[in-house]
Amino acid sequence: MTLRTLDAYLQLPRRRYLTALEWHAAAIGSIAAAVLLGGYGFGIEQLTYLIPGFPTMRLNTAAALMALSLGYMLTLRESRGARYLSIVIAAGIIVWLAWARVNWALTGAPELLATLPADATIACVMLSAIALLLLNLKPGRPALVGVICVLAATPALYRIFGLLLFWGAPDPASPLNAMGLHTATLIAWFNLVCVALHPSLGIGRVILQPSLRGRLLRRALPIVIGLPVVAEAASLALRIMLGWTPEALFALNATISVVIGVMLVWWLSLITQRWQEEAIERAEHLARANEALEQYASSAAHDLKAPARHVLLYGELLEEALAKGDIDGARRHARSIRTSGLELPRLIDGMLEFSRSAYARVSLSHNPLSEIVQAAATMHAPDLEAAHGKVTLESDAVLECDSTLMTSLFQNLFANAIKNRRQDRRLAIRVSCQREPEFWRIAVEDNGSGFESSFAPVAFNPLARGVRAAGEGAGIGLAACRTIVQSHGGVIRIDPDYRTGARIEFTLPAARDPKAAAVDPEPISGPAMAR
Amino acid sequence: MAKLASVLVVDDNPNCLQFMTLAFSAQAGVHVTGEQKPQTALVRIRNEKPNLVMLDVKMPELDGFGLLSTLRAEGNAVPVVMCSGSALQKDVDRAYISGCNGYIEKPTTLADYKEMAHAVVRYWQRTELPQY
Repeated sequence: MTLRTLDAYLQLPRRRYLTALEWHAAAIGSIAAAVLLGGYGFGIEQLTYLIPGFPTMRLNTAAALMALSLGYMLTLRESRGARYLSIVIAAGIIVWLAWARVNWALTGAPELLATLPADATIACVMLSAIALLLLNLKPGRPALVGVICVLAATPALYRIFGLLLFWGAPDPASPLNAMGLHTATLIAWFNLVCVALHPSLGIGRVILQPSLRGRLLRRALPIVIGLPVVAEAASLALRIMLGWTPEALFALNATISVVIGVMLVWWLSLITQRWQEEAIERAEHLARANEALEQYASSAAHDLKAPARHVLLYGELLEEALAKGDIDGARRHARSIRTSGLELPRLIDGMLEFSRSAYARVSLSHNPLSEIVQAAATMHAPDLEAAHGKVTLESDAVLECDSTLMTSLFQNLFANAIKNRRQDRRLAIRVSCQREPEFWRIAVEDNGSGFESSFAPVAFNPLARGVRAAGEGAGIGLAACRTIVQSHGGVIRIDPDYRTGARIEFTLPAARDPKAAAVDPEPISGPAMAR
Repeated sequence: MAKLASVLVVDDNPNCLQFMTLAFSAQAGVHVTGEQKPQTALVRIRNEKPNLVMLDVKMPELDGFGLLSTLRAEGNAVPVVMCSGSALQKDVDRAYISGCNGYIEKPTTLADYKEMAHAVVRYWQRTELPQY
């Protein structure tokens, strides 16, 4: 399973996550039942002689594991009844195993031994049952459950590694050797997966949370767990095949631990740094959006109130005129009410457009400037046609940008040029692109009435309108352009020295991919362009 | 004590200008004129020396703060009352820092407009008008 797949698995929605845990518990119970039935029904106890430490499962062990599995599945239910039943099951396991062990100790009857689990198994299963009990009774004590879960899993893990790595046991005299491999596996599985990842425990929440801590743990834990196992296996191989001494193996393991440990810490620091940069970038984006919104809210409060106030005031005048029988005056005031009312939807549309540009997430890809300009010009084809306008692209480049946002930016700039065109000449819009060492400088020029020099500093504020453009537009277009450029990491400005129309230029960071360098300028033509 | 005789209303919005002019016209003895363009208003204030300027905050090209700052930088002490559609605290603070003498939020009824104009005129008729 790759890390990405593991991430995807661990970030399952809650319902699917609970179902996955249920399946784990069900698998544990089913395997216990299968081993028991297989052992008694088909004589698999013969495996004892083939694989040391692989006796068939005793009745009480299998029954206890099946009960644990059932009790665990009940803890995942929301109902109180299921929880009570789970408590009864866990308590029953503890009482039953304790009674069985004490009974055998007191009576020493050989028939009892046939069904009695080994002492190590009894201890592990009883600890697992205590963990299950605490999951139901004390879900707010994750540390306690965690300690018991580790205590229950440790002998089982010791037995598993002993059997796997040493083909038997590192210490033949150990009482743990009586625990079967399948029993140890099921106990470790139950504790390390089912109990540890139970949704009511902090550890499960921490590992599964989409926070930096959770993401880091999900990457680090498999390595921290897997590395010692691999190192032990390698040591064993070296000892058996090459006859390395324990001292040499110790030195090797210590060296490997230091080297791999440093590499692990270094790797985690790199991941953390990358995530930190992502977080900073997001915070900056949010701060920019908030700043723009605050600025906008201030302007919107002013501009939205004005038409509403005028409707009220003209309404009063209308009433006065009607009371006096002044029909002409009433008609005039009614017209003013209508004109003021029409302002509102225009302002609201502008507000929506601006908020979209302020909060849009930038999705970068490599796009030819010509395609973006072409798309934006096509949107304005009827207006350009009516104005006998022409859009010319002087030089093309492949830009690393969000094509949708960038098209919207050019649409706004073209709309401005069309709105501010002069009637005595044909509208000509020229787009040029120039490569600077670190960024692209893109300019949009037109031969319209241009901006007042004093308007330039406030032109990009939301709802700001130039005198020459008064009465048209909501003063949103340029503000949206600024948020789009800023979200790409660039800056936008009006060239105050440009006298023959308007010239707006903005920068975009140059593409990091060397393939996305400048391309040969080629003339662009289309229905709305160079005609 | 000079009597308040002339008021110049500066507002880019013709509707606002109309209501403000109407309100001040109703005050006896006060001559009211209006101006939509802030740059022209600046020239008119210098030349016509009105007793009081009612100044809108948000205007294209040159906003009320900019116009007021220019006046004060020139040493012009004409009483200026700023009026705006919204009285956000930061705008009010900025207005007083820029050197305004009063700040009002634009009313929403004709009666309030007249009441506001009456209050402003009454205040400045009781107050020493600066010579500039």
